[in-house]
Amino acid sequence: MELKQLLKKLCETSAVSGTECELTSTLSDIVGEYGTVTTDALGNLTVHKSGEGMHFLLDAHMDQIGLIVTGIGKDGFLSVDKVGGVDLRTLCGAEVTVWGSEPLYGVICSKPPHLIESGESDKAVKLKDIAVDIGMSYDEAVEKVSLGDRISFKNSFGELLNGEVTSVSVDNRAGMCAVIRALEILNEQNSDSEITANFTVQEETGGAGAGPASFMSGADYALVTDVSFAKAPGIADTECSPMGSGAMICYAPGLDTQMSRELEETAKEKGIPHTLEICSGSTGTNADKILSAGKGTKTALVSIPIKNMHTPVETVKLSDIEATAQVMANFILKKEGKI
Amino acid sequence: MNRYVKPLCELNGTSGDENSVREYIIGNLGDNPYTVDALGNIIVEKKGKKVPHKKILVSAHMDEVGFIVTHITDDGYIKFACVGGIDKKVVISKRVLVNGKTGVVGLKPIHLTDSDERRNIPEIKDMYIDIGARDKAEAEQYVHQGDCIYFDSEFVKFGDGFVRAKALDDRFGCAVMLNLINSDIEYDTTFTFVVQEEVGLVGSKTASFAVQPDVAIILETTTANDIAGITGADRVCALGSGAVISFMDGRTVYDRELYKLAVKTAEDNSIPWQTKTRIAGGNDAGSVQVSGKGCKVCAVSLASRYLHSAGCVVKEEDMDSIERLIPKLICAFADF
Repeated sequence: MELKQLLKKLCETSAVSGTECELTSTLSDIVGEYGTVTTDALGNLTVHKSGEGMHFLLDAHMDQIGLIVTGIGKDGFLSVDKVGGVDLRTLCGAEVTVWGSEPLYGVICSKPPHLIESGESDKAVKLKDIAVDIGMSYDEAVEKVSLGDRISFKNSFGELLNGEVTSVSVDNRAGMCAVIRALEILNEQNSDSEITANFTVQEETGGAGAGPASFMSGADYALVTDVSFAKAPGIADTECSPMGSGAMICYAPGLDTQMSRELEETAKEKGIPHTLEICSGSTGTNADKILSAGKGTKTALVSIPIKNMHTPVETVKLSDIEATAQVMANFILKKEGKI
Repeated sequence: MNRYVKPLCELNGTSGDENSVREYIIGNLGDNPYTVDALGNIIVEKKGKKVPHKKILVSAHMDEVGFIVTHITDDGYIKFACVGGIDKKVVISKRVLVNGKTGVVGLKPIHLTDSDERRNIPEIKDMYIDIGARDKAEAEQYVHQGDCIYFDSEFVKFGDGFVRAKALDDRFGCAVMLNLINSDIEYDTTFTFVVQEEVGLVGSKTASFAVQPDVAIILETTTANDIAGITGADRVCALGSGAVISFMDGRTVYDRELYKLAVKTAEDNSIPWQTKTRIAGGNDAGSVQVSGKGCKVCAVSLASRYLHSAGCVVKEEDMDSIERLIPKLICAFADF
């Protein structure tokens, strides 16, 4: 599948942390051709291909940030809490889907400027004041909505200039695309290694999925992919990489430095666009969980730069997803001595 | 639902950029005579079965709130200002359209913010729109200073008879007037579709000067604040409680006798109605009342949540109440 279509398809299926089932089923159809597909107790989806020699693990998380229903008011409005690092500044007027007994359209309440007191608009809304309007009375709402139902930001896949696309949940559907594309390249290049690809749950709420899934794989090397920060107004050059600059190869204390070096060398040799991302502690990704799961695994992190992370308008450039897939696939092919 | 509402809301037309709305309306006037004045207001003289004692005007505005391009940065980002009153909270992270191109209002990721940044909403002047341009030169191939920018938002029906759409303020009023113009009405009535309400009630001033009515009905949307946690008078008005008839707002003290007659007409015809419980907002009544020799004004509004955002939320039954009320008011006011 073409990268843009693949990303669109993955973005169109909602998977707020803990409710990744529907995306798992979409994904099984896509990745079935690359190996044996299984799911575990937590809901992680694994694609496994047997092979000779070394065993490589690819990991991308499936889940996305969102909201969770904590109450149904007497007036039919829903009160909510955050699932993952939702930015309260982005909520007023946002369109959402409430995953009740059926998908329900909703909008997050806001005040019209006519009624806003002086200074009131300067402050981000507080979590306790956030309510979702689903256009229902209490009696109608309790028929269709239960406490604990997830709420996702309404999908709005759109195309900008220069191969940039914007959508809800680019974090981390972009990473999933990179893994799927890497599997495709490895397949085309007749890779003979044992490969496990884990699409993992609940990264946004603390990373519950990645550890158990990687523990089960027992791989020799783990390549984790997630999104990171692209250059945008207000962000220091040292904290980001430009859109279109390719894969972000990470160096961090917990990561395997030799793997990071080899990823960098591979990118240079193959002319794959890349930049370096330096973390002084943990990476804030599944890599932190995977490297220390079980008896430990040599782990590297390759990230895709995106703009507006954790907002409903996350933006990614398709060529950066391709570069990330190329770096990971060619790293494995190089280890096999194929290049 | 009135068949003109959805197509009208889907058109883009901020204040001063009402062309596509005007063209749609003119295309749906049938054989009724009309003129377009210097500012772009449409004035329609609709013949009724009878000549009223008083000259009656019904007016609604064509423009909607939106944004205007003020500057393009060297990096190719679009700086913008609001056209009409828009709260900065509802602008962040929204999809927009500029000259048909998709853009997004960007935001520094929460991971890179300090606690002050997380708690405070940036100023509009510090926000930017990203269309994916590499640099200023590329952005300028698509966008120019002074171009208008719109919320990219779809017309949605949801819940128990609710509708969310941008520009319901005041395309709903335009839609009600188009229905009346294309039906048989009792009395000769002048209809004006006016420009630039959102930037200071401008179009209605010149249109009503030209019409010189004795009595004017302003068709509008108004602020319903019947949302979670709001009680009593702070709700202002509520969805599902009928047509909103105003006695006073931020711009106008309405004619008391006309107000009472409007209320009586609604009650006599069993049409649900309500009034506002807070003096807030304003509409074209403010300028129509004092244009030329002045006239008596009455405002009838559709209760709407989230006015001046990417989507107003209204209730279909309130639309129906207003559709029923306006022809009755024309009859009642004809002999006032």
